[in-house]
Amino acid sequence: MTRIDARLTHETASLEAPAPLLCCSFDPGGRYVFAGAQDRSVVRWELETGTATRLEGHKSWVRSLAFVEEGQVLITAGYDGRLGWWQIDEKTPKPIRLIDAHKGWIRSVAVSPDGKLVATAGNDLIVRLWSATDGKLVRELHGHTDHVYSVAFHPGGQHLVSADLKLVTRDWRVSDGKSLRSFDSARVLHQYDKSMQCNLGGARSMAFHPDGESLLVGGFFVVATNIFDGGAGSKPTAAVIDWKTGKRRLLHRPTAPLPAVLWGLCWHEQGFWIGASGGAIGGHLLFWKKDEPDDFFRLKLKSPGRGLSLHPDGQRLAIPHFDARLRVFSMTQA
Amino acid sequence: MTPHTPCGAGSHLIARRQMLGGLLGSVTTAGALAPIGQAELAAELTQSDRQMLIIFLDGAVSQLESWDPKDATDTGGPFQAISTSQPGVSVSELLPHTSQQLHHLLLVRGVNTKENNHAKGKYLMTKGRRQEPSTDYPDLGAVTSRLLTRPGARLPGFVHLEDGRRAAGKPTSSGQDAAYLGPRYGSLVIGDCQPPEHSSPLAGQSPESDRLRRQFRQRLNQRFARRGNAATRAFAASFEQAEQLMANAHVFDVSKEPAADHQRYGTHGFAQNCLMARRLLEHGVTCVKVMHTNYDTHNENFNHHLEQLGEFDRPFAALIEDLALRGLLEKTLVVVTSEFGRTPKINSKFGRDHWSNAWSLALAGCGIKAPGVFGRTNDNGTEVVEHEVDHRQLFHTFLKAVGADTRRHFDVNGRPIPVADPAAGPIEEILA
Repeated sequence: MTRIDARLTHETASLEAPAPLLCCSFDPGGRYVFAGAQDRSVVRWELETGTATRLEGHKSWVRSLAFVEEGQVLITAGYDGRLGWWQIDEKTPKPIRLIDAHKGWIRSVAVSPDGKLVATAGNDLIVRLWSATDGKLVRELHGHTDHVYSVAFHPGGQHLVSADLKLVTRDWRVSDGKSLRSFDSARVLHQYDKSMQCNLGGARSMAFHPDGESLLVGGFFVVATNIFDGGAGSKPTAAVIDWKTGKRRLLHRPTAPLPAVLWGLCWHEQGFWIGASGGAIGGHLLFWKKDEPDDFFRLKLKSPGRGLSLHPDGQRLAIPHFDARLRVFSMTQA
Repeated sequence: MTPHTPCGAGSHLIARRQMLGGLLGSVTTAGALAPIGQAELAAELTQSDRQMLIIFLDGAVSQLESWDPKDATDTGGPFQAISTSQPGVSVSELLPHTSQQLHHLLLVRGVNTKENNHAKGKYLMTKGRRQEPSTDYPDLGAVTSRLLTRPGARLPGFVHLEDGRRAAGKPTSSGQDAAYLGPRYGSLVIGDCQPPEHSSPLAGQSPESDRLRRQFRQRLNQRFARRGNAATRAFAASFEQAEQLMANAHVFDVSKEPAADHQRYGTHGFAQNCLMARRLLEHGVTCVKVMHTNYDTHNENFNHHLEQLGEFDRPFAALIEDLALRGLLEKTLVVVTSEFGRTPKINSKFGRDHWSNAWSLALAGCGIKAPGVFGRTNDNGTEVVEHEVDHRQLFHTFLKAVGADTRRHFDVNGRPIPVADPAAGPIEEILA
């Protein structure tokens, strides 16, 4: 069996994109990796050949991706407020459908564990549930008073969680859309800057532990006052929230000063969390053991990272970069 | 999301005492001023009741997220361009309310000021010239006040409105902005829509005792005036101004505006300042400047423009609509500017940096040809390709639009200083 070790992480491929990248995801079958780009396209690379194909249809940036129909259909969520369905295997995929899903940006999309529902959220403060198969609206969830940055389904499938600019986190019952509770235990990742008169915050990444007992909300922790202006006063941070109580258990942070935002988070079955950061002085891959605040390993990236995806083989990671490169990393021996 | 900070939560800031301090602090310069022909000026002004409203988007608003969107280009960013009430002209989707008032606006899209430093850029855009070690120049508002305010006006000629930033300890003006014109023409700074501080009589002081105090001071002033100079005259004038201010303190009470208008403009600081600006213009203040801060978005330009222009859009549109409906736009020049623009290139932090080579501002109201667009940048906004203009030409243009003759001079201690940079002139193509 191949040994997987965070400390072995190294770059195995650097795939060229037409513009700076914004997000990425391997398809569940592991054949492709997709990324949203600042030229408003989504790029598909076939991993074996490196062949790139542009998916065009959105009128703004695509910032979040997901898969339905047993991994055969890609869902794209755009800052144009539209939600797209695409057959992943077509030579040049065209949208099966593109629907006007939100007024303003869609910042996040997630698929329910049973694959039947798609959840979206964005700047119109509404969380919406859609049928994964036909794109019909199932229900709307109202309650947030600030832009909603992230959505995630609980692994049990009965709950949906959404978190906003001020890190207000809401727990919704999927079956009827009822708001069950709201907690602000990740609010440490928000600050109102009185001098600049703006909000600094937002749940930039979010993921449940597979056992459903903890929720990680990623963003940045303000450690200095010049984050707005120079972006130098932040630390990529994930708040670990106990799902049962809604209380914060700890903060995962890098031990070194690394001004950046935590744009991506995922759990590795070998017992550690992986985060990808990007910001003022570049980016890092960060590795934390469960329930240990400090990172046990970090890898400097060649350019700020803006997302993260773990390949189904558990050995590879993909990072979309500012320098218009999608880089693939392996956590096994070179 | 936009924070809705209730106006009134801040401290009282300015004024009578601050104004007196300002007057006394710079009285030497003011005293040496021999004003531009006062009688001549007064005669001119009987023909003009023009006013000016300056809205300064502090920190440098992005032209691509406001007046000059570059939809679907490498520099355009995530926002789309939307159509407006001016056929064929688009603005950023961040200005949905303003887009419906664009038939009142002239967009100047070819500004090149060649200065990327905040302080220096602000100096250029507020004073119309580069900073010089030998001379400090007055703010556009002070010049407007000096040239347009009638002698004996009951209200200050230049009022500067700002919100929370002052309370946060970073005010955008000290009120010392009149340079050689003298503090009489400097701005009265109002923070958080509060009436000028100390503009009501002292607690426990009866009107009669106040009258006697003033009478006594005037008697002393008259005695002193025989051997007085400009400094003592300025000192005495400061009391007269303060008395006028106290008598008209109600003008600064924005709560007297209808509740429906508060609702329409919004309750946050900038919204309340827009409503206050309308009130002050209606009461005849010559020049009002409204600050909105902060647009210095090296980091997360798009999120922060969502927030800041989300605040700006609705009250600004309401203000333009109201000025038009009330006939005030016919005699008021509206200038919406910054110290410069922001880079077309998007940096690694989703930010835009400083960019003075090709940026935009918006004008409305009297003296200019609105609606319209003047100047053009290339497809991705990196350079001006048609009708490039700079701060000097704009300064001339703003003043000429309100009826001032910018070829004249101020006489400062016998030294003639041109009203505006004589090396440039107004942009005739956009003057009505």
